[in-house]
Amino acid sequence: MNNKQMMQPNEEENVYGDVIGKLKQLNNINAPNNFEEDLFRKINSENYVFQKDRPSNFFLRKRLIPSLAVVAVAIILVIMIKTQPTRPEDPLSINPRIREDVIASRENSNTSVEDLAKRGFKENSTDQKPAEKLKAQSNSENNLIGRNEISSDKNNDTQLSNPLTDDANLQGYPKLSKSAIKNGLNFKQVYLDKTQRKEVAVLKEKMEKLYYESKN
Amino acid sequence: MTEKNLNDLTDEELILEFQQNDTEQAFEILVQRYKNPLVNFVYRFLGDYETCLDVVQETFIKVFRYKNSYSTIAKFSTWIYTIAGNLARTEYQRRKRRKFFSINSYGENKETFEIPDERYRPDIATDSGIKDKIIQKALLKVSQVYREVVILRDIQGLSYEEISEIMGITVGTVKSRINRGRVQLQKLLKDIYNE
Repeated sequence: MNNKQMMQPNEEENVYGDVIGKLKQLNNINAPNNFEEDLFRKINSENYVFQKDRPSNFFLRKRLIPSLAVVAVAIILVIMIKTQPTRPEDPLSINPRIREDVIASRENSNTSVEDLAKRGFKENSTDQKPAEKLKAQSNSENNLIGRNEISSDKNNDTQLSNPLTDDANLQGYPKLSKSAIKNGLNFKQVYLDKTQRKEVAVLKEKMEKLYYESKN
Repeated sequence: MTEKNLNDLTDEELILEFQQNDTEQAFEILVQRYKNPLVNFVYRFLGDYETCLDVVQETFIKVFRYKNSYSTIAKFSTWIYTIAGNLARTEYQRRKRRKFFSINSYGENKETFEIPDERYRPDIATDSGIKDKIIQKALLKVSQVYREVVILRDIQGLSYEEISEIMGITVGTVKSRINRGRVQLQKLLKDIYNE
């Protein structure tokens, strides 16, 4: 610390006595006579401005009215658009829901179930299978399942309990009757091609042959 | 309360009266008491009489409008000097900027110009005018930070504690700033007298 910093106020005032004396000798600058008059005039005008600036009067300013009106209209429009109820969709114009669980071949996807049924009927009708053959075929199917092991009475009962299939056999709808229209049902639908059906029929015949051979 | 009674009240009692009862007479008495000390303080700080009057009037307007922000803990004199000091500082900075952008850019050799206020000239009004002018010129050359404390102490005669309260700094800082200001002023006055 130097000597100047260590000095007490009185000592400092002695050191700078000359400067302090000069400053104290300075003339006092006074306010003009009309100072208060001017001041109160300003205060009154300031009061007027101050009251005008209050937030309660903010929206009453004339120059703000057009812009406020535009803002209000915009807000109303936004509210109207946002709150408008959504129109119910026309069910006829809605695309059908894509069901991934339904697997259909390209060929069958273009044909309806009724077409398939008719086609099946035609195939059967062109074959002109006799009723006995159809019956034997249905029996063979039952044999595959194991129903033929049951007594003949019971066999009759099952036939009675399945009149539709019997009628279908008689009318020449042996296989299609079993693969009844499954459209709308919630399970996997598999449509077989003509060739696939033939393959299945050949396999069935083979199985039947094997079954009878093993029995004999 | 009569005007005679109001004149007997202290500054703090007057502002309290103005706060509580909106007695404008109390405010008028405060204006009468403080207009000259504040004009003197601001004039010595800014060096321009008209601007100084505007600053002091603004100070009183602020007191009038924000009277409720004054708390009785502080002295009224320190409160009003703080307001005046803040406004004077703001005005000084504004004038400095204005001078920088207007005169400095037009000066041929980039010299700065002091525009004298010819409307009020203390040198003409009194015999010791020349001395006054010299001291004022030197005072305006002292750094703004030191000038304010020197004026408050050596011209206005305020105590170190009052100055520390007005400036918002410690008493130690006030003392060191006053010393530095005096040193600067002494040097400046010597130079001026040598000229």
